[in-house]
Amino acid sequence: MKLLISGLGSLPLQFLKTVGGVSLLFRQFCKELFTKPFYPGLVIDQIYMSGIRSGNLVFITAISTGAVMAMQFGAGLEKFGGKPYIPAVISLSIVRELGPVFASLVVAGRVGAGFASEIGSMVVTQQVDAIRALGTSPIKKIVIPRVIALMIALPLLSTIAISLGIFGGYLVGVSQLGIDGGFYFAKIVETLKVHDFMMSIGKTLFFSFCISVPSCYYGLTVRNGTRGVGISTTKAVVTGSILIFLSDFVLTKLFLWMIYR
Amino acid sequence: MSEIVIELKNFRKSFGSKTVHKDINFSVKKGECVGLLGGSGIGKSVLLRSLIGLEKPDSGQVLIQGTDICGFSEAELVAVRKNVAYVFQGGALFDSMSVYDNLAYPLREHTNLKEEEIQQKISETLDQLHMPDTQDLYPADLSGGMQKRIGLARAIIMGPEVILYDEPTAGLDPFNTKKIQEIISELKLTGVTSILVTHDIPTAAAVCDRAVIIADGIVQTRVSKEEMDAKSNEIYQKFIEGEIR
Repeated sequence: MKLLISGLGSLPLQFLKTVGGVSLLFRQFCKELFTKPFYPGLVIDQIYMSGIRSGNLVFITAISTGAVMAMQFGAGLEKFGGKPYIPAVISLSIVRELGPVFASLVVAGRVGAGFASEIGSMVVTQQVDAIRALGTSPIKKIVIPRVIALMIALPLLSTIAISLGIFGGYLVGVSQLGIDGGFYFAKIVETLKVHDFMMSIGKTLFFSFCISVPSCYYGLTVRNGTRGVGISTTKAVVTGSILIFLSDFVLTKLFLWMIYR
Repeated sequence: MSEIVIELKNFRKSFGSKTVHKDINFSVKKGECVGLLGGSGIGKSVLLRSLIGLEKPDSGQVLIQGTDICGFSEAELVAVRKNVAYVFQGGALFDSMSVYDNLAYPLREHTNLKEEEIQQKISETLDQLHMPDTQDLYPADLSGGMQKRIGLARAIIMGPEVILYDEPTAGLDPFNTKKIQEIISELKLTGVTSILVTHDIPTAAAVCDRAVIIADGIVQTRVSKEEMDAKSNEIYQKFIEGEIR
């Protein structure tokens, strides 16, 4: 009981410590981003590791989400004669919300955990100390390539995921709900505007920071050996996911205000 | 009188409420090899890490060639770290890189050598450490002793003036221990200044010019080579016999 109370009591302090630590890491990232040396090779490696290798999972999630949504909306809207609205509803919700959020959540789980555990293992085996001892910067070698790679990879993954999600909806719409293929496609083109895509890309860019910076922070601050690596990995995924949900609300509000003001 | 290369003055360091070092003072002259002896957990590695700015003292000075590095930024420490090499206890090799890339790392970062020159330098260094034909292996393919020797190779490849060894023989078999001792002795002959953190008394006696014994956060005694050989220093004698920690 005493342990539980003291644990709960330390939560606000832990929270402030994490916010401060992540902010300092982000400041250091911004500071070292534009100073030499640059490591484009490491960024490309990370785009492959975090972007291309996440493709399968993100794309399967996207296509099944689109297909399931079409089925659900089809079943619901058919009673009210609302079937013609299905292409618009699905494409708009996938482009504005589900595509970027689901892609980011999948990446937060896969890549965020990967970043935290890989960096944490490097800390435990003194490889991060070795980077410093050899006169190089762990921020440049570890943090910057991962953050930049995710800034590039996540919007691209999300864009492909959106296309696949809409395609999943289209397949179900045409084959299961009997909607004409030409009509479905025309409705999508009519509904979606450039600002919808901008909103989606803007969100994923922001989400990429929500995933990469805390993950790197948790990795770099691993304590207590391999047990600490596990704890940090879990924290990285939880923090990344929470930040995605919280910032999605704020960003949606902001983008809608910008579009409809 | 030889030039002092490394000096710690009134070094104090705490972790939370635990004071590890209360007041440490010692210096190392150019070309000397000094053993830093003391029990486990008394903060010998902390002292060593402070010498290249991996740890900062709470108070006191860490002087490298007369300059206090305590207030140095990471960017300023790069110049120090090019000149002062650190050999980590477990080697700290980058496990995603081959032995070749591990050794090439400092050369690619701090020199303008062409790849053929880097290749040449790596071959020479591996020959010097009696480890040819290991370039394409990965750290996971190497034994503990080999990892330590590759870690040592990576540290010396830039030709540093100072080498800091953190438990270089810990956990090694007699064969690998002897190899490491030979390498340290060979490097000493080239005029390298070094500090050796260890509890391995035979290694310290074999390679060090003198030793400093640390306990209870202070320097307990300084032991000359003659005293080490004759075991005539009382505190050194007690340390060897396990009477002090």
